[in-house]
Amino acid sequence: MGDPNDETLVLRTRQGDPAAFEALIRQHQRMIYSLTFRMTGSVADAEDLTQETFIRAWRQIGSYRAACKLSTWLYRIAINACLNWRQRETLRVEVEAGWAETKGTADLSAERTLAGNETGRSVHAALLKLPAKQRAAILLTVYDGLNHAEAAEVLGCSETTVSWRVFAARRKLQRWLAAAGETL
Amino acid sequence: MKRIDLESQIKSVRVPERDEEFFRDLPQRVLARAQAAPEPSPLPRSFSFSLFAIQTSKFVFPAVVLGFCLWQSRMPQAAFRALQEDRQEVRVALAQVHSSLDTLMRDEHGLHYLVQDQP
Repeated sequence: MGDPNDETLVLRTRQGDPAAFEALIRQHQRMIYSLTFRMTGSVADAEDLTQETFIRAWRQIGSYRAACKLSTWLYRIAINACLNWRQRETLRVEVEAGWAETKGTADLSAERTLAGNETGRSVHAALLKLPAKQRAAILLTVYDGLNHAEAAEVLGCSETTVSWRVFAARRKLQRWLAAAGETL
Repeated sequence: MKRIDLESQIKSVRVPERDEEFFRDLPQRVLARAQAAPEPSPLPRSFSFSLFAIQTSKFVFPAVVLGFCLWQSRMPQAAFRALQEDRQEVRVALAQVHSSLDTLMRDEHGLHYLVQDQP
């Protein structure tokens, strides 16, 4: 069941109260920003995706059902926005790579802003190498502490699929980090 | 690498702090954009003939095969029924064939006379 406070705010938002939606954003914006950053690895993209997530939430607020937590519902919107972003980003990187080849420039990841110490950067770089759906599964379960059923609800797939994605992601991360000489 | 180690490493990835200004202004920016842009109406899906053909063929092809099989299985019965209905005529025709053959066999010179009668 959802948070009673969230439910009240959702009800007021549906009745056309912008202040209620503003309060909802204030409650959840850091969580969504954190998720979008970890999904994209870019501060600028995380800001855009956080904004996009709440705009979508405003438009789809009528479809929210109190059977699930509002945070779960917002996670789902954010993850979908990130997956769509991923497709656009792949296309953009391909175009940039073609351009860089002709210009002789090399560093396409200069705008990437990875936070933390060297180890944190390595782990984050490895996370960003994962397929987007596997990354989403491991971030939701490990970082955000969702159980597999909740993660399945967010990702719109079965618990078995979540388990498989988490397993595959762990295996890859362990391999990559071991190869990178991480001593954990 | 142990499972707990990997989890602690993932959790150690820090998210860069955003200035308070960003979080203070975000709700206003979201509302301004959400209210400025009208809600997009869902676009009607464009008609795709190939997609339609594929979808339709899923049902039509098995139906055609089933119909053909039924037709095949019923055809010998239909032929047999038609034969039974017309058996009187068939019996007469067979009897005539027999008598005609008999006549032909006995009339050894018939063709000869016929050729001779020609002008």
